[in-house]
Amino acid sequence: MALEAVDVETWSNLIFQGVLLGILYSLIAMGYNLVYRANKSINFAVPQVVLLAAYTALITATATGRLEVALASAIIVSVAVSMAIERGVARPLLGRPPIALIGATLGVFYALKGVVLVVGGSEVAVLPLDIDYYRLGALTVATNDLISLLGAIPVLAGVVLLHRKTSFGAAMRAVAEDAEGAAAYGLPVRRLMLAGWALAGLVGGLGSILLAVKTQVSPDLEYYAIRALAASLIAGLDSLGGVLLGGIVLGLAEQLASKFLDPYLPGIGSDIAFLLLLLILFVKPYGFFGSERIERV
Amino acid sequence: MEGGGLARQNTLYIVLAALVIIIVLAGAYFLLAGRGGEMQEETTPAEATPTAGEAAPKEEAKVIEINVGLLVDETGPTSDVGKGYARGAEAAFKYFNEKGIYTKDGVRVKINYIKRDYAYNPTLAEEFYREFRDRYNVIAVVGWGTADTEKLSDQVARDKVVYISASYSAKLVVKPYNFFPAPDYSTQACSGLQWLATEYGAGKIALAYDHKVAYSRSPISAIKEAAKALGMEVVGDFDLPLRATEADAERIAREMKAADPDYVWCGNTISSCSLLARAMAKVGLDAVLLSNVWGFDERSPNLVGEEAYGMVAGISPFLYPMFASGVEAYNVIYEAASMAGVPKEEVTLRFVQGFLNVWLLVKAIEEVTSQDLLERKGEALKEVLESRTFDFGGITAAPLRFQEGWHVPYKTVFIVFLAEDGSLQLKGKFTAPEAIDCAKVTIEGG
Repeated sequence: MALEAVDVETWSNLIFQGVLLGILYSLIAMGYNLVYRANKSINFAVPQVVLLAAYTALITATATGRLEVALASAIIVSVAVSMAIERGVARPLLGRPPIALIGATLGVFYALKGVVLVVGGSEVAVLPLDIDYYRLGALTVATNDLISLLGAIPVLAGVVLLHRKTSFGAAMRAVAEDAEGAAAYGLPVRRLMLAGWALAGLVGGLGSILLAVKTQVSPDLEYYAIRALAASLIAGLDSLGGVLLGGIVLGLAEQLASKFLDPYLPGIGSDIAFLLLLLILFVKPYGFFGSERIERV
Repeated sequence: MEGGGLARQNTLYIVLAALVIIIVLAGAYFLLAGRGGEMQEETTPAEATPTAGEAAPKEEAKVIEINVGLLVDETGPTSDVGKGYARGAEAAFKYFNEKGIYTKDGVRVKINYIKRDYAYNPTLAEEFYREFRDRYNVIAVVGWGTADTEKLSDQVARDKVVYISASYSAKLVVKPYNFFPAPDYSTQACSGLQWLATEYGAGKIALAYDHKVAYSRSPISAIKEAAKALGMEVVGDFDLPLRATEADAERIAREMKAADPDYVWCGNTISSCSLLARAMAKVGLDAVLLSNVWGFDERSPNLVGEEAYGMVAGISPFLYPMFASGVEAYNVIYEAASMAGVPKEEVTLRFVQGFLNVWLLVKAIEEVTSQDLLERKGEALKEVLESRTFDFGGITAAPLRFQEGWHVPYKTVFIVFLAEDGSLQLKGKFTAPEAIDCAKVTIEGG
C-alpha cells in the first residue's frame, strides 16, 4: 500500500493508537527495568503478575461493579506478589550470577501461570466501563483510550521524578550503581531492593489495569507484557526514562508494520517487536539509553 | 521501638514468605493438573497401567476399560474458548463413566481419559498423539484445533484411531477416521451467509480473519463462492490476528470502512471478534458482523459493548443453553454438569461443544459389540459412526448422519443475534445454499 494512499484520518489514528499502546508498553517495561536496577537481572515472572492483577481486578469489579476497587485490588496483589518474589526468590539468590534469578523467575512464571489458570480460568471479559466516543478532528478517541493515557503518563512521570528528584530515589540509584558501596555508606540496601520490586509491582499492576481497560481482560494480556520486555531492552534495561521512548518506538512499529507490511508478511505486526529488538541490539547492545558495563580484569 | 520495628518487619517477611510458598505450591499443583489432568479419580487406570488401552476385559466385573486421549488448549491462543470446551468434555467423561456405558451386548465400558494441554501448538499435539497411541493405546481421541487435527488426520487413519475434534474444518470430512458433531466450517459459514441474504438481502461483505491460522482461513474460499451464488460482493480480505490488540482491530475496522461493506465476516475466536465489533462501532462502520461458532457466544453482549448492539450475530450448530427450555436432552448435560460441580448457569455453548464430542463417542461405543470394541477398536467405532443416525434430541441443529467418505453430518446451523436491547435472540435455523457444496469448494480449493 502506497503511503500517499493513506489519508490524514488513518494516519492520525494509527499514530495515536501506536503511541498509546507504546505508553502502556512503557509502563510494564518499567517494571522490568526497576527490577534490573535492583538485582541486575530480568524478572521473567512479570507477564504472569500482570495477568494475575488483571484477573483480580476482574473478580473484584464483577463483585463490586466499581473500577476503583478493581484498580486497588489489582495493585495490592501485584505489589504483594512482587515483594513476595523478592523475599522468597530474589533475595536468597543475591550474589549469584544473574542467570540464577532469570531461571528462578521463569519458574515463578510457570507457577503463577497455574495460579492464574485457577483464578481467571482463561476467561475473556471487559471491565465495567461506559465507553463513549469523541471525534477530535480526524482523531476518534474513546473513553477507555483517555483513561489509559491519563492514567499512564502521571505514573511514568511520577516514577521517573521519584528516582531523580527525591532522596529515596537517590538511595535507589546508589543501590543500582553499586550495592556494596551503598551498604558501606549505611543505606538499607535490602529494604531498597524490596522497595524497587514493590515499585515494579505497582507499575505492573497499574499497567495491567490500564491495558485491561484499553482492551479486555484475557490471557492475551500476557503477550503484551512479553512484548514490553522488548521495549525495555530497546530502551536499555537500566534506563527508567528511556522506557517511554522504547515503548513508543515499539507501539508505533507494530502499528506501521501491521498497516504497511502485513500484506507481504502476514503477522509481522505481532513479531516486529523482537525483530526490531534484534536490529537495535546489533547496533546498540545496551539499548538506546542503557549504560555500557565495562568489566575490568 | 527498635525491637517492635524488627518484630513487625519479621512478621512482614514471614507473611510474604508464606504467600510465596502458597503461590508456588498452588501454581505447581494446578499447572501439573492443567497439563496432565490425570488426577487419580479421573484417569487412574490409564496413568497407572499405560497399556490399559489394549481393552483388556475384566471377566469377573464384566467391565472393559478403554483409553481415550483428550487434547485441549487451556493455555494457548484459543484458550478463550478452549477452557470451557475442556470442562465440558471432562464432565462428560465423568458423567458417562458414572452412569454406565454399555456396549450393544450389555458389557460395561469404562473410559480412562488422558488429558493433555497442547497450547494450540501443532508440534506438541503430534507429540501428545504419539504418547496417546504408543503409551496408552488409545482407541479414540477427543481433539481440538484445525492445524493439528488436519496434520494428524492421515496418521490417525493409518492407526485406525477415531478422532473427534473441535475443529470443524471441511478438509477433515473426507478423512476416514475424523468426525465432529457439526457441519464443517465452510458449510456453517455458507449457512450464515444464507441468513444474511434472507434477512438483509444481497450486499457487500468484508472478510476478517487471521491469514496465518488454518482454522481462520478454513472457510474463506467457500464463503467467496457462496457470496457469489447469493449475489453478494466480497470487498476485501483483512488480516485480523487471532491475538489482536485493540489497536489492530481499530486499524482493520478503518480499512474496512473504506471498502464500505454491509456485512463483515469474523473468522477468529471470541476475543478478537469482539474487539473487532467494538472497533467497528468506534470508527462508525455500519455493517452487520457475523462471527463463526468460536467467535460469538453468551459472553458477546458484555464483550462487544452497547454501541455494537443490534449489529452482531453468531453461527452455532448447537442450541445455546439459554434457548433450551423444554429440550429434554439438555437435562443430561445439566445432570453431568451438576455432578462435576458446575452450576447450571455455567453450562455454556463451549461446555456443550466439549460435552457433545464425548457424547458422540459414547453413543458410538453403545452401538458396537464388546467383541468388536476389544478386537477391532477404532475401526468398529468408525463403521458404527458411518452407519447410524445420532440424534441429540434437538441440541444439534439436525440429527447426525455421517456417510463413508463424507463426514458432513448435517448442513443446518442456528443463528443467534445480539439485539439492540443487549439480549441474545435465536433467529432460527438456516441451511447453506443448495447451489453450492461449500465443503467441496474448500477441499478442492486446497
